[in-house]
Amino acid sequence: MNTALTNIHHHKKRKRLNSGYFFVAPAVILITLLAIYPTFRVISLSLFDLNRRTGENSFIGIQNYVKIFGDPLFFKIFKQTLYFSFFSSLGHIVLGFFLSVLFNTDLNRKFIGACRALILLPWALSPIIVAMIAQLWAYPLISPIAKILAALGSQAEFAPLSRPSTALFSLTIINIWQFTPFYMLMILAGLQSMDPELHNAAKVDGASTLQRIRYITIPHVRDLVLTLSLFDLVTTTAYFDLIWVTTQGGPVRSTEVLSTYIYRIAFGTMNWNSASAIGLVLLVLCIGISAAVLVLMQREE
Amino acid sequence: MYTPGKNRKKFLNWLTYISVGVITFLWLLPVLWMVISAFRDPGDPFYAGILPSKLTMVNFQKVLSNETTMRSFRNSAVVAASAAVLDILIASLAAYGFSRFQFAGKKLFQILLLVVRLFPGVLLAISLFRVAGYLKVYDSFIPLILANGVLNLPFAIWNLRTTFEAIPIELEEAAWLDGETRVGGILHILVPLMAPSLAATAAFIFLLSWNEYLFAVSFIRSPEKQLITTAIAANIGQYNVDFTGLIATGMLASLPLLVLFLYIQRYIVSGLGVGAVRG
Repeated sequence: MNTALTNIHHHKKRKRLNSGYFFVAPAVILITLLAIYPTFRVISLSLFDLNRRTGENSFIGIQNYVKIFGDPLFFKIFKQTLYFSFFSSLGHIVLGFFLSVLFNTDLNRKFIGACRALILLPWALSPIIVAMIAQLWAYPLISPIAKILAALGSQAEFAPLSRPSTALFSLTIINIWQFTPFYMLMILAGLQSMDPELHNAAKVDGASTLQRIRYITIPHVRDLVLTLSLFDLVTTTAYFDLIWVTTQGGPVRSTEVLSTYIYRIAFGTMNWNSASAIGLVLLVLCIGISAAVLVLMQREE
Repeated sequence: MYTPGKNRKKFLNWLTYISVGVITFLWLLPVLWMVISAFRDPGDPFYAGILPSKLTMVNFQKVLSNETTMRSFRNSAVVAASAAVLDILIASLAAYGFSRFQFAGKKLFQILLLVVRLFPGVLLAISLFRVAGYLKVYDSFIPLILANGVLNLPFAIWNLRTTFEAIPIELEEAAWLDGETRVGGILHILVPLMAPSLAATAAFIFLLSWNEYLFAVSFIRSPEKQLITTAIAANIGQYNVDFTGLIATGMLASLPLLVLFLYIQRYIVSGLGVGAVRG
């Protein structure tokens, strides 16, 4: 390359240095105004207490947090949040992995391709539509499952969402149903980037299907699966729509999770200070999960 | 000629076909049930059988002639389309800046995007509710559009950035030599090349905003401003509602998604990656 051209390139690079900010500025402004600033507002809200009668707003330090951590109900809800997010994510990833292995075949592309697209349908549905179907399927007079169970001779009433012992488990199953196909397709994309020769070579060497999955497939998609699990855990920990619309946290708080609890306190009783404090606990939990998984991934590398 | 290996392979292939088909079918049963039940006669009680005794369009006629429900559909369309347009404008600028420039703070901005992506929605709802109160835009579509916009922005930026990076800068440089300005180069060279990706990203944000419930229920009070998600949710769990009508509304609310979904599903696997994760 001659000197004149190099100079042009240098010149351009210098110019680019400046106008990059212009392009990202709208995004930065939007995020700052609508996510960063409000976060600090929520932090400050969590340190105050509003007296409803006098309208007096007094600084009380970490008193809101002390109150939260002294409340046994909070720990029940905290545990339920972890239960829901952990088992949902586990279901998504484990079931998604096995389905992706099954769906990863080059046999009749049209048929398999159509199945891959169709099975993703539940994921595209609004959680509100899923909640609607779930409610109807858990209602003994309507539920097809109840009818099938009755036809099989079961005497027990099928109402899984109305019993505290089964409601959270049912919601977990519903969430697994809705989102597993998505994780399946994500893992499937990872599987398809794999060199098929690896499997053929191992086959020639006499490795069984299970051995090939264990020693070739799993190591290949491990990083992808870890990243997916992280996103999944964090989003499921803060998940709101399905639970709120299906059970409103009931019966007797058995499906209450942090996000529904915060919503109830904020928009139900209008106690913004307490809601902000619990909201920040949720935020820290989400950041904590992300950090833990990131550290884990770096150590693996 | 009898070859055991060949037969075994044939058997395994059929086994794969059947299991893939059966799993897909079973997985979709709740959706199929919704579709069939939307055609059920309101006078045909659900306890009479899983399948309706006859199919009828009467539920759809009822929904389509219900002005309140149709208004919710229009409101949802306005909010979702506005969020999609807003995000496409802002995200394509940011993605372009990202893929074509080096600047200090780039890394920080990427972390910022990740944080926004992982930000609990309910916390955003609380803080935006307060901001909307101060700015006196409560009970309007504005905070709703902004909330959907900001929450889906990271995904849009990541997605468009990948597309920008796949387009060689030489194409733009050639246009500059032909006398195009930078903006002219973007409009005449990049936008046509990116059209499919822009459309898929917009469709995706439309889908997510159309499905959204938390912000809609937090920011909207007036009955005439209800979105379709809040309108449906208000009827769930009520035992005196017209079930077949509710199901038909739910099916109609899922119909636009079906169209968008058929269009974007091939992009989901190829390009959208973890940015699309919604759990």
